[in-house]
Amino acid sequence: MNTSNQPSFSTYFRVLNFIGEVISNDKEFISEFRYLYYKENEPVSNPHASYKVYIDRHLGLNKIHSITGPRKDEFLLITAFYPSILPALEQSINKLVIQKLDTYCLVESGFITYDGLGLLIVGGYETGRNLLIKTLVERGCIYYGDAISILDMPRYEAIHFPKSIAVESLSNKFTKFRGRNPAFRERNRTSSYYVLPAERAKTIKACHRIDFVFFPKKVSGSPALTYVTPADALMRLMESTFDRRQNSEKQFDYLAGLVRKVQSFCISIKGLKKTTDLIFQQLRAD
Amino acid sequence: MCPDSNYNRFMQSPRVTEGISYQELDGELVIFDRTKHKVFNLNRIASLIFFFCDGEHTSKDILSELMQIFKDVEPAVLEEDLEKTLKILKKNGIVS
Repeated sequence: MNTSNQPSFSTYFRVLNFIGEVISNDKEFISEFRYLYYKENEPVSNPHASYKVYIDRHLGLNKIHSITGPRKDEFLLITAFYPSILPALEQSINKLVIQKLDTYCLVESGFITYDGLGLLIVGGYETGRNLLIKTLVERGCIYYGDAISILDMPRYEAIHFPKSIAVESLSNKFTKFRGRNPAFRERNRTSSYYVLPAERAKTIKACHRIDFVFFPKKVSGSPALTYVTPADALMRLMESTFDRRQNSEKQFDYLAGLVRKVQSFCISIKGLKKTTDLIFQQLRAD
Repeated sequence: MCPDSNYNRFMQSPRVTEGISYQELDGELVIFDRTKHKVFNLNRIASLIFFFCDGEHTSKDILSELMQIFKDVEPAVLEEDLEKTLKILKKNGIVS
């Protein structure tokens, strides 16, 4: 792989005070990245992390794409599967954000607002969280984040995570040349990204009070909204935090304070329209 | 079990392990083990036993306290509950 004479394109992104740079030989990839992460207006002189992404779009047996970084010469991913590149980069950025923003409480969740009320939607992507958030945004909610919520300790507020909604799915990918051989089958996490209407996306550093916590799960029966006790909500929230030993006790105390202040519900997802109707009914009741 | 080991067991003073935090929420107790990053939810009787694990109360003392609180429960039932709860708390590293 010779990348020395390749033209390079770059972009910057920022999550609170964490700043990163992405350089690539591929202009289209940079556009895709900007589509996912909101672009910084001004170039940054000393980013905390720098990723180099090499894309080979020529057809052939040697087709290869790679991501290097965040430290120089550290290879994160080499793949023949182009769709793997952006989700892999997103995962790596998320890991770095978790490490760097160690004075905040980070929860695997999304955050939206509706009519002045803040909704924290907690759980992994397999719970149906992202599709639920996407539907709620399409039905009028304001979007703050979909994968990691940055909670401001000691204030009970969520801070905007400047990234588009990624709707993820697992699929088996094959190459044209190796598809018949199961040994080359790749279990691949793919993502499609949802363009937010401008009036629904907040600006960097926007924050909002948390009023409700929802724990979604997919079910085969009817959609339902069930009250969750503060103790149960705390258990579930702690399971969705990231294991960062240095402030885990502080996070535990903070989340206990949060569940005392908010109402928590388990939301069984079956049909996004009916499920979101239930959520809106609950919000209007308050 | 020989009478001596039964006596020893009752004279032990269980103590909450270092690295354990807890929060009481609407009568329920949530325990957080920050060294293992694990959370536990204790029911009412387990919560009471947890609070008596201060390194000063022996198991016998804890049983006496429980008998005072749950006067309508058979002492043998309370003793069994205490034994089971302490076993679970010890197994999960919450008390030693």
